[in-house]
Amino acid sequence: MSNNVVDVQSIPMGRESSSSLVVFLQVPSTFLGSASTAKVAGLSTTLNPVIVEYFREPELRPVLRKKASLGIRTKESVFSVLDWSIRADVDEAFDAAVDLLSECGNCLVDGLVYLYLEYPLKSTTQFDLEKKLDVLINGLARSQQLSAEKRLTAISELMSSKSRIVKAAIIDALAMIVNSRNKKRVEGMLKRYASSSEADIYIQNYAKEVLEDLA
Amino acid sequence: MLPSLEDVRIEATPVYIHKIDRQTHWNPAEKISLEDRVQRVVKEIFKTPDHTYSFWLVETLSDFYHVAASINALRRSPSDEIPSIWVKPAELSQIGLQANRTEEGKCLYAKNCITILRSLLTTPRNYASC
Repeated sequence: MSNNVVDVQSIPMGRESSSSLVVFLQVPSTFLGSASTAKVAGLSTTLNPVIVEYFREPELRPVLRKKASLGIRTKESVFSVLDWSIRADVDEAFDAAVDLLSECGNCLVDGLVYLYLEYPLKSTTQFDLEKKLDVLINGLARSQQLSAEKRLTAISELMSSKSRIVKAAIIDALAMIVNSRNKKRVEGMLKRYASSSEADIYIQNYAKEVLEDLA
Repeated sequence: MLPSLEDVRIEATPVYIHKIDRQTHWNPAEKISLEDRVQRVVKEIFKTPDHTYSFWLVETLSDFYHVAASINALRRSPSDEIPSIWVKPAELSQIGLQANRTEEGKCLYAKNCITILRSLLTTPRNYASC
């Protein structure tokens, strides 16, 4: 590999833990916005103060995560988390939302189906919708409250998506959900993306890499 | 087994690692002009209102493990994968950015993200590394 100035990769984490070597640390963001209500697809939903604190205080997230997740029981509350997930003024908003949603269960499936099939596009942009689907797919794939089969079935509903963001999220999700019982089904889904019928070469290669890892 | 720097496609050290949310943020679409790609990447990666960003210095394999552990320290699963980009120190200086080691609370100030990205994205890339 050659002259790359910048490379993108995933760092597979080891178990070693240690103090950090910090060169630049992120300045804590200035957190803006209302803590009282949010618009969710035309509905107003009251924001749980614990969820607000969870997003506002990055260092408290590990201790607040469980408590904050107790306030997420409906698709509307899932959407309020998704609104936080795409805010530029919240530190590590994407990861924070994925981790929080991964503590939840059936409301993730309800939210995913609604967001993908029924969400009124007038209430958001296509781009933001895809970003929210990315977060939700990632959260659902990590959910320990849902069986692997339930997660797999929910995610398979999105296989018709033409979006690179959604396709990549599905491939990552499949890699997380796979186990000895569903391996054939997961491989079948991955092969659809890895085949020449997949128009996006990036997605084709991405799926091939995951298939190789599963082999 | 813990990965080597080669396993995560870092060719040489030292490099600065910058965590991103998703690999698709760096590779947003199949057919896209450089200018559009720059705009999309800025919107997704270099988006904080105060234009400050964390770049972690990796000089050795041990540094790399420390950085990875630090980045995931507050995550629900510390073994979560970390999508990232890496930049050589010389490339930062080429575009006029000065790296200053800080202990806490201060970061690289990169007001003109578009300049950085145009420079980084025009360099030949190996697809397999993305």
